[in-house]
Amino acid sequence: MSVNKELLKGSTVILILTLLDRRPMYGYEMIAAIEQESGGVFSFKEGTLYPILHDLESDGHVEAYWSEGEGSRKRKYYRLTEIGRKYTQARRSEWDLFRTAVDRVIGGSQA
Amino acid sequence: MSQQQDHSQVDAYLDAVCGKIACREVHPEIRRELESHILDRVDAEVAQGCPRNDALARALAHMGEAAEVGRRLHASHRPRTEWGLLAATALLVLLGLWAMYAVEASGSTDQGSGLLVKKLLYTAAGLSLGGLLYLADYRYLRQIAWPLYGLTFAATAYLTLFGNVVNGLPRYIDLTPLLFTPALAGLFASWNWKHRWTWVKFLVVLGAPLPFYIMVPYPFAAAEFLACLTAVLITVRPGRWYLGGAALAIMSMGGATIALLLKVPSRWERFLTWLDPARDPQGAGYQVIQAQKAMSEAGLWGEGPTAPLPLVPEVHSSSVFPSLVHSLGWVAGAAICLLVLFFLFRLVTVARRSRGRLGQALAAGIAASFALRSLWHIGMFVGLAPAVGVDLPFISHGGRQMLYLAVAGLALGVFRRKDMVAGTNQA
Repeated sequence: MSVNKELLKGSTVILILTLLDRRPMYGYEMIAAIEQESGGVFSFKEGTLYPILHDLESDGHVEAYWSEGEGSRKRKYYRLTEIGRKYTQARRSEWDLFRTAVDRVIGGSQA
Repeated sequence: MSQQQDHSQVDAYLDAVCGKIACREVHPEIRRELESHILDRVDAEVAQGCPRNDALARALAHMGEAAEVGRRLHASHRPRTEWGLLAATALLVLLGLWAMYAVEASGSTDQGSGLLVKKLLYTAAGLSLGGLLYLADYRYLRQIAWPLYGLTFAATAYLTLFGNVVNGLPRYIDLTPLLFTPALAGLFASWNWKHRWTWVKFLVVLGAPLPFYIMVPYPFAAAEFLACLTAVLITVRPGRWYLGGAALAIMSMGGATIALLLKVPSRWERFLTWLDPARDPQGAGYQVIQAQKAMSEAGLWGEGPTAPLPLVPEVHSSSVFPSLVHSLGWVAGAAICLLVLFFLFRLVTVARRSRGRLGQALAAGIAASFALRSLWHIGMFVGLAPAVGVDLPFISHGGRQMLYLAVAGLALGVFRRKDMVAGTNQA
């Protein structure tokens, strides 16, 4: 089963930031992690990850560096900056608020 | 399917993506990044038992439509505008035009009429110059850094030794630090600071202008040169020995200034008058005393543009701040100080957010120059800086305003290209 595209769109940035909060990662690694940890629910067009990453870099939330992977394949890693770390926290509390509110409304009858 | 064909399919995809991205400079890096992603995906598909033939097609399908990816990447690498900096500059220029109008309307200048018209002409010329520097790629500075440094040094030496002296000061000497700044940014950002002989170059570049600056009775030029050099130096992170060297230069210039103060009676007099302008109300203290009189008359909301000021020398240039306060009032005076601080803050933002050492160094040096000049100008009238004739960027009168506008355009140009510059660090 997969979820509506629009639903996923609003949460891509927070997913990426949360992953990078753990450790620096390269693009494909993030996609694989999101797919795996969401049990395959979250899968989106992988190319659209990069504009998001480049925007985060432009805003100073993440910084990038090239590194050798296995073999000679070079990977562009991203890591959170100090500003990005604060931004991630802010986005997470925003997300928590949103999630609780949605739960309260749509799950209101059971609560 | 052969590896060769694989490769041409990947290339075709990357071509389609990059076809949508106007900034060519970022193409190679984007290609490498997307290519490694696609190849990783192919490997994963193959590992899961997908036949090699289908793996690439599936990987490309996962990536999404090339045109869409390209369009979005294009949006990430478009020119940027630092609107805050642009707006602050525009407001300062408008204030300058108002100031010229008020100075003329109140009849309190000995410059005759036509100040406003001249200011308009200089502004137009400055805006064209700034516009050119805004559009040009600032990285040419790396190539012209040595010639620019050499020319500025020659100008500094010439002005000090043979220049036209007005009020005991060689004309235009105060502009040389601002010209040194882009040269220093170009040099420092290109140097290999780990190299053994870099310190020789550093000492030459740092030390050469200092003897000339110490010869003129004008502490501002030396202060500005050292402030800009230090700001540029800090952004390129050369190591603490170099920062220590800059600190040592600052201390020795400070020491030399104090020594000259004690030795040269005229400088000592000026120093005492700075501490207490009333000591010499008809001489060195005159400008500050008259300016303070004009400001205290203003009241909260000012006297209006046509009200005559007490006689203040240089009311259109190095006393322009008191004249603005006189016509617009203390509230507006405070607002102008805030506007200047906002302008400086946005310049620091450009330095912090632009990519690459050169852009950061350039913006930091420009910020240091404008900061020292603006704060010194205002400081002269509240007793925080010696009154040595420093004009207020964008607001004062004079042809040098063209240079300030040009430099502001340079800073905006650095920000404009912040996402159009290739060069991610190698780890």
